[in-house]
Amino acid sequence: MTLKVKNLVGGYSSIPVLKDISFEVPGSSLVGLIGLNGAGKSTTINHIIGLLRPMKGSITLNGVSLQQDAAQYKKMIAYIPEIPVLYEELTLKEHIELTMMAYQLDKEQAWQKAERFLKVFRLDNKLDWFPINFSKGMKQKVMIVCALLPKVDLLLVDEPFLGLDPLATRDLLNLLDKEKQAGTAILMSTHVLSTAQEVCDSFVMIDEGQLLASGTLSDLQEQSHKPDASLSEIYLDMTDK
Amino acid sequence: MNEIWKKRRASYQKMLLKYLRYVFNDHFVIALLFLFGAFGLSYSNFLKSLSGNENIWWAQPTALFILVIMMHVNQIATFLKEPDKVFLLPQEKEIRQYIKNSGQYSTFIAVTVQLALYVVLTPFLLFAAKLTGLNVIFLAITQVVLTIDRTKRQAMGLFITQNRVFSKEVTFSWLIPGLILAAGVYLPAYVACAVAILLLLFTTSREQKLLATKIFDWRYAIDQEAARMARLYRFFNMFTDVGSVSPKPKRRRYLDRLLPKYSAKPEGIFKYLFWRAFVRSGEFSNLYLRLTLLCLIVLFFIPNYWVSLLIAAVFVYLLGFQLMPLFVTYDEVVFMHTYPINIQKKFLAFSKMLFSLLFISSIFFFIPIAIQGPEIIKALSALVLLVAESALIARIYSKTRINKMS
Repeated sequence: MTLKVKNLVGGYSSIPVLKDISFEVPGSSLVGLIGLNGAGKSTTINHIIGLLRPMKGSITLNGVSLQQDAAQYKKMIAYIPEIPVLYEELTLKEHIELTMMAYQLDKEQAWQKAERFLKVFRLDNKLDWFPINFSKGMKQKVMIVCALLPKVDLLLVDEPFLGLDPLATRDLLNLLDKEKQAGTAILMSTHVLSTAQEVCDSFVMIDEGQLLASGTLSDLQEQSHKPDASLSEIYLDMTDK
Repeated sequence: MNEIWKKRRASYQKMLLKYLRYVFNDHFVIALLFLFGAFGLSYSNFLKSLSGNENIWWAQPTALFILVIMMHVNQIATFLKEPDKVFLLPQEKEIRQYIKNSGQYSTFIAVTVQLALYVVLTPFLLFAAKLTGLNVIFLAITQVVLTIDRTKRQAMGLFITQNRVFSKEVTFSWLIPGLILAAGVYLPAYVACAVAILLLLFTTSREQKLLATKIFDWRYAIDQEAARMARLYRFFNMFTDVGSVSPKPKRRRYLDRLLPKYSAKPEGIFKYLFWRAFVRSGEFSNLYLRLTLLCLIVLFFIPNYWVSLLIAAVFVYLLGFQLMPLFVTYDEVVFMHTYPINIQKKFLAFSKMLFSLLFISSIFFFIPIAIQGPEIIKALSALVLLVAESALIARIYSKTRINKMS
């Protein structure tokens, strides 16, 4: 269960935003994708989930690329976007049902799982609500529940800490940890570096579309010759800002 | 604030003009001329057919009903916008003058509309409801005074929360005007006229007393204006593409039973989505119902088989055309791209749904055509033609349309 990004060049128009990025996300690990606003975090994720096509380079998950077998590839990933987007006309319950239909999950088992998540995020009494009635944090929780429902190999989490209350943040981290234990590879983009330092196993640092460094915290400390530096110090040092 | 008012009114009028140019495009003007001609003709025929009758019991209630409904055509226009609640919040005092301006402007528009509609109704009042000339004039004055009163109360309602209780709303904008107009229709109309003027005086005195102490309710006022603009845009949307139309979805729980359930089929997911989007969105289902109803009413008034068939066919096309954007409603939701779903089934699910909807409309359009009493073969062939058209639109035309859209 490994995501391999090799020499990725890509972006939204013909001008590349990402310049030759390579990294790996092995199974049973939580990798932090670190960068400032506009560094290229979301662009990288958009390439991995297939919203953008690579101009050069390749992205493979367990050896399968999106171009080779889109259906197989998509079955193996789940995605929690930074800005929650939901179906305006669907209730919370129907969002969950839709996810089950999309991933062809066993209805009964999936519902048991869903109910557990809903309880954790205190959404279990809001099954009949429309997205329009949810706050931003609640919408994000809906996305989390839907993303955790299927058993996938790669979970992509885009900037999860903005909009969630401290309790929900803790619960999310616990759930991600459980997923990790079960073997899932998780790539999480964020610029909340203090949290990232605590929870991530290793890091991929990018700035202005380029890979700065990657590895565990001690690797990074070694590279920057600062044995006690925090993640944020290392990052700011490397970007020279 | 006066400057803001003037600027907003000017840009509003410019916007109206812009869209009206689309509404009254060449084809539609010709169609409208015909429709007006047809309406005028059938209206006069209708009145002629009544003229022999001495006592038409339903004429007066009908007149009353039309007058009351007519009164609710116009809403107060404030031109307030969403950011105003932040940027204009300190203008608590000045907003009073602003609303006064908007009240005057809205009253002027509303009274003009009422008079125009009243002129159309006048022959009916004279010849069917058998009102005397003098009464018709007094009743007109009553209608105008009530309209002024209504606009005034709407303006007041932006300040005073208690007016928004449902029972009060019913009392003040339906029951009381209804009673006064009933007096106008059944009694000598100057009585109603006098009562209406008293009501207006009462409202005015209350307005002055209450407005001094109350706080402007920005949220409510902005919501009301947004709703009014949305209605307007929705109307324009029938003729041209309006960017900013997105009414809130409605739950419509009672329709849940009819919606497609969980399905393991690959196209099931799209069926699930499209039907929910259609039924619960304010946009599509309203449009569908309105166009179907409109065509149904028109068909009931047209006695000619071929003309009816042509109109029905045009409406089936219009319906199909207007429902096309449903195909792309969810394209912005990222799940449509990341979920492991078979995107090839999307068109199939959409075209099946479109056909079902057009099929239902065709059945409805068939009813008035059949009632005209053509031979059975002729009537049935109309149905077959309409259904065939539906299938063509849903299967073939929609494909090219959607390709153009995306």
